Amino acid sequence: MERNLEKTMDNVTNVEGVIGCILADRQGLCLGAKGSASGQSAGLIAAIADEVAKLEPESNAPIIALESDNRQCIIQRQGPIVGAIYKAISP
Amino acid sequence: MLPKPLQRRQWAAGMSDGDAANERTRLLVNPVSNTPNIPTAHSDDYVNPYANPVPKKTDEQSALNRILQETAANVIDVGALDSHNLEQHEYMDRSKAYAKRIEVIGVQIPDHPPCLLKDIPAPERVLAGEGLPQQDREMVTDMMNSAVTALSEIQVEHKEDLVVPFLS
Amino acid sequence: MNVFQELKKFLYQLLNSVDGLHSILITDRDGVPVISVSDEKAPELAMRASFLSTFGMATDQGSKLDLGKNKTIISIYSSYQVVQMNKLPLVVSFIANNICDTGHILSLESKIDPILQNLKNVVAEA
Repeated sequence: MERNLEKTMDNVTNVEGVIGCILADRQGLCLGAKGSASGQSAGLIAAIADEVAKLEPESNAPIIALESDNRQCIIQRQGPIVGAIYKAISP
Repeated sequence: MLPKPLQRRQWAAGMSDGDAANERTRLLVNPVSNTPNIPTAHSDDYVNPYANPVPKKTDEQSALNRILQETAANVIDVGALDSHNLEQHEYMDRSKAYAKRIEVIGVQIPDHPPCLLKDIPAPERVLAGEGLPQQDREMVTDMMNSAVTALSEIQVEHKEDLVVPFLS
Repeated sequence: MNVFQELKKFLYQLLNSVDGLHSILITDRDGVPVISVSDEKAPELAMRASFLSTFGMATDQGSKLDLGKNKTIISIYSSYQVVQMNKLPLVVSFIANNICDTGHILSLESKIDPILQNLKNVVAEA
């Protein structure tokens, strides 16, 4: 059923430096979360993707990177899904 | 109407939540005294321990009522979703009373929700920094491509019957 | 500014933080508003007590599905969606357009929770 979705997330989480990932649907509802990502963030991530896309409505969906001192969150929408990858960054 | 499965089994065994099932559990619990899983054998009715006095009619009635109430509480009854409408003046009175009480009791309002982004010193350092590495961009795009494919392949798998017999 | 207005200001901030959200109503079980905010696009019918109070009964029935106590009911209609949260004796209702980010509305729960404890006292003692 959702096996392939789980596999997709597992593959990403296994990449070095990645500490979690999350997928949300069109309504900002969580499809799945792995690692340190929380299902609670699904709505916010979808909202960020949609708001940022408004900056350049003519362009393709942007890749958004939020950065703090030790973490990075990379967000992109593609069709019906918004995804985010959480990475730990070494200073 | 759909039964709530677990509650239904417990109800069928005549138990309230939390009771443990055993062979002495009665199918219909005596509502008057809730403990007699074992017949209360006085010395004089020792010969026939099952000759309990016939419950009074009111006891029987209350037992039936209790069964009815428990069943009603455990059954999802869409027909009972009718709402009672408040009178307009009652609605206004209550609403006004609430507004007054808010002033009296007071409500602690949390500080402004923190912004996602915050000012940093020397932004030019960040702005002039490297963009997102190519491999990170590929990683997120690959994940999204495969997620979109995976989502389109989602199907419901038939595992068990959706309709179960009621009180079987 | 008095407490009531401060509270409204706080709710307006939440309302404006979600695109497509038209109204936030904190009511009692019968749908009588304790406090509410809304913009001009909010559908008047969905803000009536007779509509909001149906949640009280629906959440009771929904709790019988063997999935534990019902917390939230999301109803999506052709042009609006209504998200209602069980905070009894309070009910928190969000009314938004149908394409609004439902997950974003749900994430407001953690922001609205801190003010609910005081508001529960308002309803309980009334």
